[in-house]
Amino acid sequence: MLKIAKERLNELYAAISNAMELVLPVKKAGEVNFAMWAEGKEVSLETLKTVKSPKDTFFPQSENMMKFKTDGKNIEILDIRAEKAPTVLFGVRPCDYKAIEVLDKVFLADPVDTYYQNRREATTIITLACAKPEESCFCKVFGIDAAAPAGDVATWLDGDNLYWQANTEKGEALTALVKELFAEGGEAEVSAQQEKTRAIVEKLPFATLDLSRLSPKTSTIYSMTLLGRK
Amino acid sequence: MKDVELKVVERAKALLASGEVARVVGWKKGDFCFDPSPAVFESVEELDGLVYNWFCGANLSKYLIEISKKEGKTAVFLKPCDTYSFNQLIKEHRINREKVYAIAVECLGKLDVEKIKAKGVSMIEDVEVVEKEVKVATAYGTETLHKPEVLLTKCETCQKTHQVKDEEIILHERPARDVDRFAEVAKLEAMTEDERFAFWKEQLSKCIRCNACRNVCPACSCVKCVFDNPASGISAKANDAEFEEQLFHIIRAFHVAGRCTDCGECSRVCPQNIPLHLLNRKFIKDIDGFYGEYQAGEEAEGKTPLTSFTEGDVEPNDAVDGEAK
Repeated sequence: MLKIAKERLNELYAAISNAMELVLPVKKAGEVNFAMWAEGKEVSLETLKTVKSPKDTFFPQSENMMKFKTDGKNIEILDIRAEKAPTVLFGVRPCDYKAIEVLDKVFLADPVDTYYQNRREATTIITLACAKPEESCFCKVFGIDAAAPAGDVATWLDGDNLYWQANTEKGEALTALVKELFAEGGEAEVSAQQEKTRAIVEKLPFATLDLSRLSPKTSTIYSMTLLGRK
Repeated sequence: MKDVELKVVERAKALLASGEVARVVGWKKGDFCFDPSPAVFESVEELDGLVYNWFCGANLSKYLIEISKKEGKTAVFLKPCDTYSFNQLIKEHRINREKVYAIAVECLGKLDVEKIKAKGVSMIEDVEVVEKEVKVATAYGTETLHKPEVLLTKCETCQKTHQVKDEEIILHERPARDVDRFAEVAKLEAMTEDERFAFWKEQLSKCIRCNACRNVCPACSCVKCVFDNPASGISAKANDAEFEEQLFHIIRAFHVAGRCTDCGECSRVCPQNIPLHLLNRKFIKDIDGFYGEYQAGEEAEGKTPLTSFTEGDVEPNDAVDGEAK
């Protein structure tokens, strides 16, 4: 495990941003949403939930999908898809990451949504564990561990440091790129935070929500994800 | 506040039980203490779920457009600000007054749970207010907040009084206040054009076009909204920053000009916290300046500045320059 002091996070953002596009929770006119990082932007990793989920990274609300060229009665469809620039999506909460896994089940299954696939493959996802879940959280019911998120890289934030753990090849590649900013260590701090977070999660009012009202189809998608079956 | 709630529930039950009304419109307990939602109650048993607390900010007037078409009379609880919307809707022939029994209910300002949470308070279990102190009981302990800092924005400058009442439930008098509701508008007016454009561009580009402001607005009661009409050519639902920044909210503000009672629901429901009420307040301030003081919803009938003509009316060019008589 690696760690970096909170005060040095801007250096980390700059280093990532030098190599690829960096999207993370940014405060704009009082509200926090995922947006492209640039020098001077106010990043807010402390905000538990952004107003909108990071889903827009993979599904923009509107996009040009193709062009048509007509010549008399002939119509030619032009594929205007370009290679998606490598992107890092930073600060994804455990529940939001689970939602992306659920989207994968649908949009990466046959027939593959190639627009989604392009963006998904070009994106390295850095998740951020929760330290202070709120009363409206119900992650536990869906088998999500708020203290140990999946993702290419998982991170934890406390008062002093950000702790960093690569989980996948993509995550290792990103880590190699920024490794010199980090120091080794942080296992004890992360374990302590995890223990605390899990204890809070147990006490949340929706920790025991009844899921029997979900439709069988919805339940199947979730249980497939939970069991890690493709 | 508990004493008021008891009285509210007691009166609602009595009215339903006696058959004086067929239903009651009020606020229903949500999942937490801070998220009651508007609801229709049709039996005495259902009324056990009726609440009236510090988070009942929602304006119930607009629901009466549909509900007052139903068989029998409907009782509704109206806070001072809600009565202006109610009156305005009667003026526009949208609510059938004969079929509504209006209960004026006291209001000492409502709280904004988002503002409480923004102070780092979470896991809220209960809220108690004593004078200007808000005591929030949470799973992490009790936090004491200063009430003026956690009021709903619409309550910060409210000086409204009940304009409609068939009966009233007022156990505590609200102290009279002297606040300037146009102070924020004046700040915007004092900006240069470029600064003001930058301010609104930043705010309005947050819009996700959820349409909550339109849906909650008592003045937005068109049967078919132009933005929902595929034949209009402007029914876009995807948020296109330029359209939201420059058209949607401005069109809406013009559409409700002269009819907006400044109930502030638009800003309350906005998930992106866009201060939409400031657009409407600018129109209200200008109308006051151009035609003399006018408060929509004060009267259920009579002429209004924007729908009547007098020879002394301000000329368009003067209006553009913002020069009031």
